[in-house]
Amino acid sequence: MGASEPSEMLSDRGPGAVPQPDLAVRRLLIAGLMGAAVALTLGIYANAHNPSSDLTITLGFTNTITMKVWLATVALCFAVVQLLSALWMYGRLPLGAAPSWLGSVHRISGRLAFLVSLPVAYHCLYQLGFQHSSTRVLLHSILGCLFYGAFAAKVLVVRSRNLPGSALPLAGGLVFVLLVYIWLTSVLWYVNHSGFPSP
Amino acid sequence: MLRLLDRALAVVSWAAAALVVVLLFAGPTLIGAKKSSAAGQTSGSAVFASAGCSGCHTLKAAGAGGTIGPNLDQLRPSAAAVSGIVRSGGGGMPAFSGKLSDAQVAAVASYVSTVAGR
Repeated sequence: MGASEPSEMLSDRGPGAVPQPDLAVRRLLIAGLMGAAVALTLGIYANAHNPSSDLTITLGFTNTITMKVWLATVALCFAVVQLLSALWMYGRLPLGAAPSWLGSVHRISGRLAFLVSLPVAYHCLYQLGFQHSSTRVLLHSILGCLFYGAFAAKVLVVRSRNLPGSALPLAGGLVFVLLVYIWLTSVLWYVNHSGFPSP
Repeated sequence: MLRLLDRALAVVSWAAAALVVVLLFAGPTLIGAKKSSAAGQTSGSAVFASAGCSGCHTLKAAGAGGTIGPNLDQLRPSAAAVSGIVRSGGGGMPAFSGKLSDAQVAAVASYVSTVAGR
């Protein structure tokens, strides 16, 4: 994957045809609406669901909280790999041309970040639900829902053609920022109070 | 090799996401476990168990060994204190008002204040 080219949105009428910004807007709108639908669905579920501690998993960690701290941190590490690989692919790092395998590394790190985030999100949604006991907790609840909405939108943007060159970096950047703030409002708070737990 | 791994992870990612969605909505029904939601429970010990209190608190009578929140056996809170913090949350503890009924809050408050430290 190399740096993105400036967008050339042509109609099906062939060379020299008039660019169709409407197509790009439509596709961006669909991605945004899909993301909003995902975020809203999670928020509604979290608010309506009665928190329950049954069907909990620890994946070998001492307890659920420890699992969440570790997995959230691992997800953030993979997200950093995503960011750095994207910067390299877009020529923003002084490392020369991006190697051919970097695109695969970028996608793999993204998939792994998503995978390890799932048990964390499941427990937050199922055991705690949507909370608003403090600003931090409310922010975390909102950001958690927005993260998966942004992720869904980003997946659509990746698969869409004829979008502005800035669409993908912006979508990816939004996902990264949301994950960082989710980590800050949960793991960082927990570590400040209780230290980083051993597995 | 990397592309193979990428494709395998793509399938796994979709499957995992679908599994999470199923677990969120089907919950313990899927594996035949009993869903012991706090809703509907009125026994203080049952509310304590089903609301997930043991995940954060230590309370010997309940067999709870959580270390995130205060050790209730050491703290020995009054029923009023338990009731207040359960309703409004605070200090990292989520609020349970709206998720537990008044009867359930009263039951768990009475339970904790009675057994804590004994």
